[in-house]
Amino acid sequence: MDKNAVNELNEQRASIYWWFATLLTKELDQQQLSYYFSGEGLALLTQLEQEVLFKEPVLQIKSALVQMMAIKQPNLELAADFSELFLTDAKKGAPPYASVYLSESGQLFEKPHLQMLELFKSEGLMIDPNFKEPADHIAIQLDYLGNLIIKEAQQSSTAQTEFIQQQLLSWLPPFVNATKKVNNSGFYQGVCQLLLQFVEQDFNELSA
Amino acid sequence: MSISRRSFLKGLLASSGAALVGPGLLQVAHAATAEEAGKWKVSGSHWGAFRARVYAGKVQEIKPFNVDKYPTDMLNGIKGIIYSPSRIRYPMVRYEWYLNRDKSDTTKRGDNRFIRVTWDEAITLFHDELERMQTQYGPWALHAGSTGWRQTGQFHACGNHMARAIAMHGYSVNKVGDYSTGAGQTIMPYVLGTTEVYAQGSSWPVILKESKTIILWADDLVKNLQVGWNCETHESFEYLEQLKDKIAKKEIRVISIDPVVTKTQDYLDCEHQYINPQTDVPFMLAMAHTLYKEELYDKKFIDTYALGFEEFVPYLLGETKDKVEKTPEWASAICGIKADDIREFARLLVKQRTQIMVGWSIQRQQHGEQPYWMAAVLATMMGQIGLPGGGISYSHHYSSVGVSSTGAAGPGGFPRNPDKPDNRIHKNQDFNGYSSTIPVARWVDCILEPGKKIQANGATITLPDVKMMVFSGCNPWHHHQDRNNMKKAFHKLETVVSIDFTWTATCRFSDIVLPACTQWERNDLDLYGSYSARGVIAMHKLVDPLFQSKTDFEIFALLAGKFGQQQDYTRGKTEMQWVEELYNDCATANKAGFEMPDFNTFWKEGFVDFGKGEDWVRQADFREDPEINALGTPSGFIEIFSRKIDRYGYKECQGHPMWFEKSERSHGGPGSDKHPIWLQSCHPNKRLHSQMCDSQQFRETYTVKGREPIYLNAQDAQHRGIKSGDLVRVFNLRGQLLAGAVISKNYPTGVARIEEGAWYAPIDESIGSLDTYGDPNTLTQDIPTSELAQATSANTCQVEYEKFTGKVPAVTAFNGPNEVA
Repeated sequence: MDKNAVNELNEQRASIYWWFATLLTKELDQQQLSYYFSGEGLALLTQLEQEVLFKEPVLQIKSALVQMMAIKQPNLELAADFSELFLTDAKKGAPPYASVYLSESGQLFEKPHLQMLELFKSEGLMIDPNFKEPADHIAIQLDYLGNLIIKEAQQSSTAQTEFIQQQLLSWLPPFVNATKKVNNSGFYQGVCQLLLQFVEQDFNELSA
Repeated sequence: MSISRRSFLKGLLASSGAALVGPGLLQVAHAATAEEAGKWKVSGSHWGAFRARVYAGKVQEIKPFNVDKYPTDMLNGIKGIIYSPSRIRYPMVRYEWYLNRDKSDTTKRGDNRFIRVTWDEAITLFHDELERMQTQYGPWALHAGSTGWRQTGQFHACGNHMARAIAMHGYSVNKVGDYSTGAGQTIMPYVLGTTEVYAQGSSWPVILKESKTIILWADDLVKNLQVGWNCETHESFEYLEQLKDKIAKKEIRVISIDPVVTKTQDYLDCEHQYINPQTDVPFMLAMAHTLYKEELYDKKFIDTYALGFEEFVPYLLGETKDKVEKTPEWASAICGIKADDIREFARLLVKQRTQIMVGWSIQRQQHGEQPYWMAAVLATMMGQIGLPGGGISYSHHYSSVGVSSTGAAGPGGFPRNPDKPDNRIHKNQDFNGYSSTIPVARWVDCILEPGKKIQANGATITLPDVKMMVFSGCNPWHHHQDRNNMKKAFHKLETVVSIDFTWTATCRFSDIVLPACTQWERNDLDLYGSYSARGVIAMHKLVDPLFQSKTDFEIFALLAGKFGQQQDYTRGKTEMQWVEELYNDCATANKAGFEMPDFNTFWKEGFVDFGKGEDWVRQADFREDPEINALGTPSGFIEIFSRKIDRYGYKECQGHPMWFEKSERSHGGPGSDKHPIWLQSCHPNKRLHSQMCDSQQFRETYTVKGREPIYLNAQDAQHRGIKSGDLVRVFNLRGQLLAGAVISKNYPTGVARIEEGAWYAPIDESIGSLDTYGDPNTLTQDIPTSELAQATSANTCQVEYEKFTGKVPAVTAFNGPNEVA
């Protein structure tokens, strides 16, 4: 592939990771949600749906969106789903922190958090102080990965594969499983399942 | 893999990226700060004083502080509190309430769907609801008076912050008493003149020197002295060690009167007097009968120091209404101690110098006033009150009572009340005919039966029609009785606000939940050695408040800001200015007796030690001169008969101590045919009430299959086909729970224990649903001790249990609310 094609591809990969990061950073507001009812969001989902691997989670997301459209204040309903999964729950929900799944104690701010901090330190980065979350929050990891892809500007990179393998695939499967135990509209369960399949697919391509 | 990444990525997000992708979460770091290997800081807690190593913004390691020579292993649970995934991370509002406010479907409370809001929105909602209560109803509709075992630290004391801010806004319902000692603290001022339960006791060195016999009456010191109201430094344990030694050398005889072999008995290797649960009064009456009949009691002491013996004796002799003589034979059939052994025990009490120490569990039962009063009568008949190593105490198991007081003043706290002049926003004090103060344990009755009139300590209380409750650092879904009754009550509340750092069951059943930080995320100071006033400890902030949590000071300053009084609330001072001022005030108060360094030195050193106090004998001054040093009773003397109580005309607390049958009792008592097992729910061994139950790794050191242990008698368990490690369903007509069986030789037949403070974890919000973790208050009954104290009767509780055979549900307690039917 020529250099431009590689750059374009990487920009797209990075954008997808940032898109996932955005979805998992905080609740969607009314405007953002509207993009998924009829705008670019729906277009993106429809495009992803074309890929056989992604079809099932995308259909789950779309079916949740159809439910939402019938509700008076859909963004609040979706916010309650988000809370139930990520904000108030520890065991039957799915706290979006690697430490909960990877540490023996099951506590927050364990080794995965410290590893991310070390990484940021070595690269001269820091977390936005307004986003007061541990460094092993899923959205921070995905945001970082997007940055790493752009920085590396190569199709395949050891840093990327290592990061995906060690920092993401190490805990995404139990995290995604945890989301499935919660019974609500299924929007975020679909997003998390899609994320896992995308990461796995990307990792396979990178390692090929 | 057939998929072509290139093909599916093509065009994706090419044009729409800006709309779908939000701003990044990472920034270029400022100049890197040099990291040390870690910094040691000092702090304290109910569980002990400690040093903590903080590195990379995290508490890495905790070590007992050297002022504490007998640290508890509960220090191992502290990191698990700070970094628990049960932390409340953001301000949350119950979704259904957010949509419909006071019209919300309250049966959904505890279901539980929340949404995250900003601090500003959360505080606005909180303030709007306070406004609505004051304008739509009146001060009677708001109850913001319940408090619990706050986190330690004098400045950040959460109850004070809540009380001050709420009072600056308007009046509200308040409470009197507490769940630990409600009956004791109400009856004892009539009998001995103070609450006794919160009074300093005779010093241990005196007891160790003078006592020949020590009676531990339902008193588990070794278990309960592990925690303290202030920063606990465990000085009592030095004396318990000496006591153990003296028992081994046969210099002191210690007898534990208890249905159960206590931790203290095990530690001291002392003697045991078994007694049937809830039957202490018959045993005491029969001993009084023996002392009277055999003329072994101290007539002279009674003549000089007590009133009302002659009104009491006819009851003892069966000459009053009940016509029952309180003979050892009569008592034996109830309390399960042989008549001759009762006589022998009575004779022992007066044979030599004897100190009686009474625990709190026997007043946390129906008619809990009676054993306390009767124990005082027995001690009066023994005639040793006020002698070194003799008499009676009701507090030696609590917060270093018995360790000599230095007499130093501890640091004061943040003011509970609004400053003068009173500028409160709503000045309406019209409670619409309702009472403005209620006995603490009767708030659920207020919600369920507003307007009902009850008797309490000489007053008639009209239960207010409470519509809104505010809880700060308070977990009534642990300490109140009868969960299913509480669920019914919460269906009637319009609004519930909780301020806490962890998702307690109370938070799950609330509408607005505000995240406070833990005590280790703020600067403060505290007294250490509560009753000994041993010193002052600095509480360095170990790490910044996690997530979006804030200190109680910040939270209530924000609330005061909503009604324009933030400056008045804080007096214009910051956290550190307050801490320094409280220290300096303390130094000034101690000027005459104790030299304290300047604040900066103290803060750096981490503590100021006042040394050891003088030995002291309780009530010695009264014994010396009962006229000059009169007791605080109505007559100034010990009141065996209380005219005042007699005049109240109560049924279940009359003019002198009496035996009343319980609504439920084991060993042949009422209800034992259907539910034969007495369930005791005493203070836990590995927690402070419900605090630290969320500390996962530490909890796992004692749970059974992830559940709270239930301690069982081997014969009872075997009879039901249960082995240690089995899951057990415990039930009665009030509720059901799962617990993990631990069979122990310390428990007699007909007795089981689940320690209070186990987190409530119902399968769902419906009434009657199974508690998956093992909160004993799912089973206890919500009835008052009597018309006098109206206190909790948690220890009057019969249950049955069986091996659990169904599909095992997951434990739901230690997560945020996420139960969706």
